[in-house]
Amino acid sequence: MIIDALLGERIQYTTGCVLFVMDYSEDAETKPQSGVGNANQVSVLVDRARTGDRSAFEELMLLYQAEIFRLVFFRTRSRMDSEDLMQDIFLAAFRYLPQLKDSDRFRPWLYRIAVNRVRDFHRKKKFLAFFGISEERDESDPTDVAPHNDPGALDKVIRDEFWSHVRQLSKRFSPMEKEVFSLRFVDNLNLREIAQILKKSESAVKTHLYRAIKKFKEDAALSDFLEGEWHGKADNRPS
Amino acid sequence: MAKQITGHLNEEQIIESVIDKSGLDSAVRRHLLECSACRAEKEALENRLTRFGQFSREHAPSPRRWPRLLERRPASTIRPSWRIRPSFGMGMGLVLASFLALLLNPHLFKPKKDVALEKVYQEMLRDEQFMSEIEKLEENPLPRFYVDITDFSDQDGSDDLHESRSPGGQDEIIT
Repeated sequence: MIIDALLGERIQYTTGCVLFVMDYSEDAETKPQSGVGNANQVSVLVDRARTGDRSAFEELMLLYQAEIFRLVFFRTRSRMDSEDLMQDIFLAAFRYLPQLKDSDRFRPWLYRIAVNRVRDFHRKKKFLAFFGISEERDESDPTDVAPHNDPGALDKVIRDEFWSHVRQLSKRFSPMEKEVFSLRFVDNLNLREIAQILKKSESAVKTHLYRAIKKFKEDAALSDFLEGEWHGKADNRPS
Repeated sequence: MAKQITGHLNEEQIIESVIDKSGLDSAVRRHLLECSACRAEKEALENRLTRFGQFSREHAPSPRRWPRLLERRPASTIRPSWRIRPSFGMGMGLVLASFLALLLNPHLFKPKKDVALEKVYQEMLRDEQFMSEIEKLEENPLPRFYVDITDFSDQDGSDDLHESRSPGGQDEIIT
């Protein structure tokens, strides 16, 4: 990280005899479209990227960068930190991709890197905070940050209410419950993938998920909100 | 033989059915197929969770900067990092220059020998002068004026220290 800081925005890694430079595209017009492709397509891309095919890795980045950013953002609540971490995650993925044995497991492998990087980030932040030298870049909560499409006033109210409910709910979760719940329902990962990412047994994941869902189910306000808003019936929501 | 479920599924069974359908007990699975109320409760919970995830994803922000791999160069053109940051390069240069200077002239940061010796001699001289002054003081601890008085009483040969003489008087003892 010190070297990263010294080098500033441009980060370099040498892999074998080739140097790759990772840079940011700041142009909103050139914002890449992302979306997760099918498993076969991903496997082929991973195999190609493992042999040093740069364009294949770039395609993988396009497929996963939005969800990786989302994963990091929900855990750091800071856009700047999330962007920095996302860069670190993809560079680490590119660097260690030849070590991935099974290309079908690319997604959980990438998520594992992401989760570990976020943990390291929080650990470092705690350490720095202990000595009073933490750099606070908190952007409070996701409601302060504009989503993909700028919503109207009503949508903004609904969104703010939703995140307020989420904050209340997450206060009741333990860190592991929060992690498991988020990976399962926000990131749409299955139990096996979550177990691989968190290095836990599937039964342990189920236990944490059970507790989290129970707390979710008990949150009547959030349930009511989800029931009412989803169908665009904001006015029909119980007060 | 699979056990029968009387009544409806409890909360624990409903949640378990949402978490992992494949791990469900066959009796619970059968009950879910048969009981519309339990099935509706399970589906309602599943829907709420799905909505939660979907809402979170839809209202997640997107980054302002997207990472991408920019260029690819052969290893021969790899620039050392100090060339990228001038301050870092300058610092490294200073350290290197100091190291080289020290290597070429090991006595660069040491005091010169002659100067050091001269200082030692001067110090010794000062010490000797100081010691001789101390010795003089030990021999004659009183100032000159008092030394003269002491000499006068010694000439008189009197040992009586309580006697004093009038100034200017001759052999006139005041008692």
